[in-house]
Amino acid sequence: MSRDIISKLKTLKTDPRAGWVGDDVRARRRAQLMEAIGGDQAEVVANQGALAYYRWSAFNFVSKPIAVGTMMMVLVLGGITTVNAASSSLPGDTLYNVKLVSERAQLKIASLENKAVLHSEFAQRRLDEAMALGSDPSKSELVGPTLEAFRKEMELAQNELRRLQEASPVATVAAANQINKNLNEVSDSIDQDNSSVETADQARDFTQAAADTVVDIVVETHENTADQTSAKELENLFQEEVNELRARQTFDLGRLVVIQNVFESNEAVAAQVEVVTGLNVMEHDINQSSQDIYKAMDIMAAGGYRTAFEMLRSVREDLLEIESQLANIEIGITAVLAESPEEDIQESGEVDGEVTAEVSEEVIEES
Amino acid sequence: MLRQKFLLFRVYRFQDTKAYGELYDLYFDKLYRYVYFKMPGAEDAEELTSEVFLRGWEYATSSRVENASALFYRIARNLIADYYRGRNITEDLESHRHLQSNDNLAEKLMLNEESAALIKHLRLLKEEYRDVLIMKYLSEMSTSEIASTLEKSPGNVRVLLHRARRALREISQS
Repeated sequence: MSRDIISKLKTLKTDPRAGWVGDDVRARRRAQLMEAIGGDQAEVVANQGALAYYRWSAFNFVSKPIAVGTMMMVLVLGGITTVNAASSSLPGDTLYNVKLVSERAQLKIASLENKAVLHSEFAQRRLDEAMALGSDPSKSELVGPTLEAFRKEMELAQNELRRLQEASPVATVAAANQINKNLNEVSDSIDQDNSSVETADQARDFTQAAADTVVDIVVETHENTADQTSAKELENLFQEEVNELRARQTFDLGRLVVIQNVFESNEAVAAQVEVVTGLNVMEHDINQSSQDIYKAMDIMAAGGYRTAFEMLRSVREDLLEIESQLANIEIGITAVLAESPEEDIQESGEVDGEVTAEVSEEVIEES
Repeated sequence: MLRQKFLLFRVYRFQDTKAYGELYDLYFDKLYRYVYFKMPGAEDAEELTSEVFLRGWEYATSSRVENASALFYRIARNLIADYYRGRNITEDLESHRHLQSNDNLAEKLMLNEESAALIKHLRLLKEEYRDVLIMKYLSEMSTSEIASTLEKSPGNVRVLLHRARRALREISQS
């Protein structure tokens, strides 16, 4: 019986469904690998033959090289190899080129499906590098080019996703899912970065543009195939967007309340800070955007994916406009408070549960 | 084995791509087959195998390696673990398996039902049993070669093979 099992197993040797691979695949992958490691260049060193090897191996027999297992642990723990050392390098560092060469090599052997995902991962690396550079004044001139590289990787991710869309709708949705996860991580990194507002704003714009393209591609894919996988991916993307917008609405309303409290308790400040759109109007607009989100959800449930996403984009733009005005007001308040002497505007303790501001006697006399 | 060590020496000392190409020729088929049973589809298996060799090059040109086989399989295991970490595994696997069955391979190559059933039973085995059976009977590796690759003792491998054969027999009969 055992021999029977063994002989049956041996018949699978040339079965593709048991991992047999043809010469064409082997040769193609070999050529890709050789190109990736520079194997198409002329050999740098002539064949120095076995003598050099025996000398080396005799020396090393005495020195007892450590086992592969231990060396791999060093690799895993980010030890002494060149590539690992390069992985944490920044633009301007000696090993940075090694890092870029390694990335290019990965792209050379990647399938079309993974190229798009790889570019989004490399974009994340460029952003991390830009943020690290931004926190070092001596390297500030490298931030711009690194951000440009970040933008470029985002663009390449979108381009490769479009190419993939033409080749394989199913793979497109899976790749879009992975890219979207990477974009969420990029957004989180941007939100946590304190190095530069300008860097963060630019990065946010690039990331949002990429995220919009990913959504468009998935919508198009669904319109062409109408399959469950793309429908489910669209629902996930939609829900993420709704959650993010709601969080922003809540935060913006909170900022509005703080500004209203400051104005009510500091008339002098209110008089000096420019408010283009009234606070009540802004509050109304934020609440109106909630209605728009509900409408988008209804349209989404009815299968109007494209229209639903467009409505969310419109809400996002409205909130951006409101947030820009809130930021201007907050900056104005900060500037006024910074210029005013401390005794002019003071906060007293609570009176009947409300924090009130007292104007100093000097200001009263002056007025 | 001596040839392998010589090739590794040339890769490390001279960054010899031709020598690395020879290592590729020696190990590609076996490694691909090992990876194939752990990935959702053939394309994924091809790509991961390529990635193994790329990482292997980066490693072998910067550090002394004594055992290429162990290195490649160790890298493969790490990459496979990374692949499944944080991915939507169930759906991908199912969609890819569905795609595979629609590849018209059965029409092109006239696979019989017995082979299909045996492959199915192999996939039902515990991973380490499947690995040793594939290495021994499909990739035709010797027990000592399997032991060296998996960093186990030859005795351990023999026991595994015995248990694996028994497990496969039981699944086939049930």
